[in-house]
Amino acid sequence: MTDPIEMLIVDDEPANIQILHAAVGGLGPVRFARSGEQALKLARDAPPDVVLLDVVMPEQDGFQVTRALRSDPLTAKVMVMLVSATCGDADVDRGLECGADDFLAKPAPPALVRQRVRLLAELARRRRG
Amino acid sequence: MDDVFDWPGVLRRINGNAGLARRLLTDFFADHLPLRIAAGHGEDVRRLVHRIGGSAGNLGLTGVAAAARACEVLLLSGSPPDGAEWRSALDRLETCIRVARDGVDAVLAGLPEDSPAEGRAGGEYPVSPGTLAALLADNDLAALAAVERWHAAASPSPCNDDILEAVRALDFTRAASLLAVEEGDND
Repeated sequence: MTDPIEMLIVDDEPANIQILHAAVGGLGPVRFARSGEQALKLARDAPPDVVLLDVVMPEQDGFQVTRALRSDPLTAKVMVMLVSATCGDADVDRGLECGADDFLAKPAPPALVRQRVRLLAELARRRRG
Repeated sequence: MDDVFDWPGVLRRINGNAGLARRLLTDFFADHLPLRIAAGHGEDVRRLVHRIGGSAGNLGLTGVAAAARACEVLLLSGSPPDGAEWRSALDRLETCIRVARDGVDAVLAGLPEDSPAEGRAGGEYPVSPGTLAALLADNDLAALAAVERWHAAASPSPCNDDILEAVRALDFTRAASLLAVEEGDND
């Protein structure tokens, strides 16, 4: 029996949230945010193990949210997986430069999403010691 | 058909939940009218076509996703939004949306009208309004399953239907407000 993984899904599009939730819901509790601002508040209130973060969002995009998470001691160690329909080399480079741990192209097979989240959660636990 | 609408693919992504698929697809076609793109400007349009592409890909609308991405690439390349190239790409997207809608309608027409409750996690235990309110306050997606059970057990009322719809649309703030009003009325 593995420990539940606490996740936060961030996307401005409800359908994308629900599809990711269908993929990872069995791994542990899942909260969601529909904006970067809301995501940062929820992450500070109760830091999750893994954030699944859309890149293209109005106001704060996923890159900006990643930087904000990394710059706050409360959320600096949270694992961040950027999720985007646009997944070119430049996007991946920029995401990793901002401090993201992983980058996933959507649509993604549910089994792949689950496996990546499991691996990130394991890394998160090691990172926290 | 798969180059227009990959129904098996979308079912795989949502654990075979046909009721959820029906609702997400219906919402997609209600939301993403090409008119909104034509009426938009600059970065808003790029975000909108990106959003259409991402959602369409997730929902198995392969042709729409490809056409939306072509629009996005064109905008990123600096193509003027009033140019012939942009107009042609937008026409292609409109056509793909129309064709996809027909394909989706044909598939959905073969499904039972009323799907069973969409919630799966957590078994059959009753859900109290307090529990539902707490899940909504936390933006916890367990509320999606909880609200289905709560709604099934609650007295029928337009307000309860609105709460169900608000949760399904992930508008938890509205759902929480409606739930507070409903519970206040019941006191």
